[in-house]
Amino acid sequence: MMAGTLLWMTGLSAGSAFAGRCASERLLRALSAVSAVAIAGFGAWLLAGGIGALT
Amino acid sequence: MTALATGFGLGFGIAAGFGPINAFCLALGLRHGFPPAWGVGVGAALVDGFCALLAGLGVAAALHGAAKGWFQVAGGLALFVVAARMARSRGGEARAGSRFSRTLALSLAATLANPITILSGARPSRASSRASGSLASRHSRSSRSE
Repeated sequence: MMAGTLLWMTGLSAGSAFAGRCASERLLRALSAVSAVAIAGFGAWLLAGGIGALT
Repeated sequence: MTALATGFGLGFGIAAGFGPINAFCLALGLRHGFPPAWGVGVGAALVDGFCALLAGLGVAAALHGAAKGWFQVAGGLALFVVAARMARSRGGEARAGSRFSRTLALSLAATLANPITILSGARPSRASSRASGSLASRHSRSSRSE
């Protein structure tokens, strides 16, 4: 299971690192912002689920 | 061999689903290159293995009600920390030194606090035990027929 996860993550890391060389600074900032918002959204979803389960 | 292949396929399939760790890895790779992004990947793989072990030991069955709720709250807060760090480091350029270890630690904490990882680990352990069970029964059938 670990090997499968590691293979996917290695491919994702290598692909994004390669794409990062080609993308412009402005696009990278926008993508970082979108990722941060997506991660915060997942966090809010988990938090809401956890609070719902506790109350 | 079948159990190994099942575990590999399930690990790959679970990791390929879009989630916060994938988004974090993607953003780090785009902005700072391969090493810090791979740190996130290594952290996620280590926690996946650990959670599969816990699930195999039956810990996933204990994750119900309040325990699951507390795990979800901790996971949500950990993801907020990750998002805040990403937003803060948006402007500054990478300090190359300890990036791999820092993202590895952050990934370990964020993935460990995520109850979905443990619950999804329960499926592979059940599937692989089923696969090894069918292998064992096939083996006993063939040894009986020999």
